[in-house]
Amino acid sequence: MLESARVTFRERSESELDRLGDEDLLRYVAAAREAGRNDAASTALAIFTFRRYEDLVRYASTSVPNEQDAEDLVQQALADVVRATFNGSVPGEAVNFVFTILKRRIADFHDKRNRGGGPPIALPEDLDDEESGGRNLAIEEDFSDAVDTRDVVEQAKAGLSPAHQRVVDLYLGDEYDAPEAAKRVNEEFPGLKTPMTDANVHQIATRFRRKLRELLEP
Amino acid sequence: MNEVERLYREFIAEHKRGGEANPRAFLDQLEDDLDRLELAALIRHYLERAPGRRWDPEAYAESKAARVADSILAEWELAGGRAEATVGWRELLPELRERARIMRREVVARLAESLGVPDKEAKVGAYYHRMELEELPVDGVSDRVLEALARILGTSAETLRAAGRVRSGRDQPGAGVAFARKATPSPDFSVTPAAPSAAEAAGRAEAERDLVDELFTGGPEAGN
Repeated sequence: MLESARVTFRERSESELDRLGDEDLLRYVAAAREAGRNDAASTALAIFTFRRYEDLVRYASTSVPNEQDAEDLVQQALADVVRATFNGSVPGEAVNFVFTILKRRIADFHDKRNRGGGPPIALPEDLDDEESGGRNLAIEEDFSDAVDTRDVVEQAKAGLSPAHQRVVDLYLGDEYDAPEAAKRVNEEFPGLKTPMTDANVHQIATRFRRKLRELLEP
Repeated sequence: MNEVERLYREFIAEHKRGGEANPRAFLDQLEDDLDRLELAALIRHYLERAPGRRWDPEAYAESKAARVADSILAEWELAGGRAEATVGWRELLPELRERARIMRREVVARLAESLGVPDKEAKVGAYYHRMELEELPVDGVSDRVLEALARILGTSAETLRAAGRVRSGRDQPGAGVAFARKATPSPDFSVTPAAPSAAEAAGRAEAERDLVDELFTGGPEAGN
């Protein structure tokens, strides 16, 4: 195995590595390491980590009380994914897998606290402004809900037709304004009985958000 | 445009500009709990689909990501190059299902069929559910189950067994239960005697054991 990896491993430049998708990048890390090329492996690992780290921390910070916890959980998740790569058990798209692992780590974090296995979450009134980062009690209480509702946007979209789902993606996800979203949907779905209008886009977005809020309602 | 939508769009704009885009700063601007939940859900959804940062060696050198990568690299060194499985069933099984685009009930139905017990689908489902929760000791699960499951999920039985061992003995509440009927207690371990009612229940359970129990708790050779 080691010998064949040495034979088949081909070193790539940083710009080549930057163009690789996450899965290929992680495969490259594993192949380089197996070929004894830790220098090449560490370059690819650096690119993968740099690519994903900040968004993962942002994601975690919506679900745990402070930045340090978010960073710790992300570090665990990234390390887990890299080890899983070496073990040959990273399925599907690596970036999805990183988020899957991170969600699990966040859920574990809350389970542990709920079982009394960790220090209690400081209430905002116990923290000075700098420590609390302006948080308030209601947000602290939202954390466990935030973990439980992670796929809620997809659930809210699930009841919409493909064209309407596309409207939500373009208008809310890709930040297009209503006329542009309508124009793109009309191009992508030429068979619509009546062409999409700006008003339709607003109506669909409103309906989607109403559904989302219903699902989020405690 | 309401406040949630406005903040969400501001967050995306700041994120795309390469700004700090700290979700907390945006969430803190909302008073209403439901508004915050909505904004948090939208932000998480967006982040999961964001393309990530383009490689910038200079920025990397100053980043926290570099510290994390260094830490992972140091761990390789300490591990002496061993590739250990650290992703357990809780993460791997749902991910494999998602990859194969198979619902859990479909996995269970196919697994029951494959094990030759299509009439025991509910029981197979209960055991599979415990696997996803990592409440079933991996050493009790037969090769036959893992091989069937691996075929359904498009992986190998070895990978599934390695993943099942990740938290074995640590976070598995049911660890040890599967082998209680076979194992000889070691004097090195203190064993709490079972209460009579529990013993009776265990006796009844023993009497009611069937092939499904055997396949999921009887060990690697079970059912062969």
